[in-house]
Amino acid sequence: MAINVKRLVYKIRYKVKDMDAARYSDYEILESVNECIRYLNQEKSIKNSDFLEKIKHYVQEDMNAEVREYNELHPEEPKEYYDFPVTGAELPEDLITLVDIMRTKDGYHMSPIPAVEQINPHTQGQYKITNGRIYANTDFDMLYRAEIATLQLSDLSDDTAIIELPEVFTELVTKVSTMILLNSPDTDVMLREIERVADYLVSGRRYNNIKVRMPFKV
Amino acid sequence: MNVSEALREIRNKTNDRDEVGMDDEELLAYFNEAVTFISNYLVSINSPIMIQEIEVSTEGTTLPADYIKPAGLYPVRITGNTIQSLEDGPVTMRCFVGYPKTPLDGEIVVRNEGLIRAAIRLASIYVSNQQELDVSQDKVLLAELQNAILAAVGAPVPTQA
Repeated sequence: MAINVKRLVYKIRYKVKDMDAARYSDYEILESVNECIRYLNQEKSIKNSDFLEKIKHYVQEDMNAEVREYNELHPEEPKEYYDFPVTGAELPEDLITLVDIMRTKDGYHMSPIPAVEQINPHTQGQYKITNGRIYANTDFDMLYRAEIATLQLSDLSDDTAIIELPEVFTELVTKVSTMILLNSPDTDVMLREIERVADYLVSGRRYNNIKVRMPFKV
Repeated sequence: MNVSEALREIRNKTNDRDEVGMDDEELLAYFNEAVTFISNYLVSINSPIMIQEIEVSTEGTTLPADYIKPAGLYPVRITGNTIQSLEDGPVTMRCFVGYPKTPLDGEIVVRNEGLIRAAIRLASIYVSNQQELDVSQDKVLLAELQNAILAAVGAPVPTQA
């Protein structure tokens, strides 16, 4: 389902004929893969596909239980407790665009209000986003498009580390990372190449056949 | 092969079987010089047999004695004889390290028989040169020697990076 990092590194090493790691270090390969991922994150056709959709559950009680646990372990620098309507909660760090916010208890599609307004304490159907935080009067699920996470050095020694892209992208990531590793074409050329390959891969390819609701649907 | 065998071979090649020309220490110096040349040559073709792995800490680690260069780029910084990790934790670095000098009473550190033969041949060229004999023919042999090393270690011909 996803691209295994270890196998990807071997594929790139095979392409540059350096299985002994005598010419390119793992670190260099990691950086070129990360550069490739950053280009992919900028690529519009990938942003608009459903490969990257994720759901994050915001449940105030559970999140506060985690904070309590953390604070007991680190009393010297305690974290603040969550109060969704008043202080809100952080947006996911890998967020690109928001797709939908649903109330947890019944799946009601909540509606946004302007940042200057206060959340109405008598309804549970509103949310607002300001300053990187989301405010609501209830627990909710956030459906969003996420960025592909870049790799860390520790991923190289972890056999189970993956890149969150469908396997069909393996060839693209291998090819582009190798191009980056071998010579450094300038950014525009690289982006154009990504655009070409990604457009070819992504267009019309979806995980499911659900009709996407238009944003103006009530 | 141990050191005395190698020195005897050099004497055979330089017609000094009776040990009247040079003493062992002098011969060994030439032999070590030849080994250094071969290890530098192997590093220049990125041969993996010269690679060692070292653990580089964030506080700084002393470089190995015969350190030559890193194998690729690593998030490390070298200052004099100290190497330091630029990451939050230690970094395992692969680097090229030359062969150490062989002492008179020790074993030859080079494991590959073909490489030892190349070193012996090169050392005898050095000896003949020092004795002011004509080595122009031997110089031609040097190119052949490098091919012999390539064949010995089975290294790929280096391609342009």
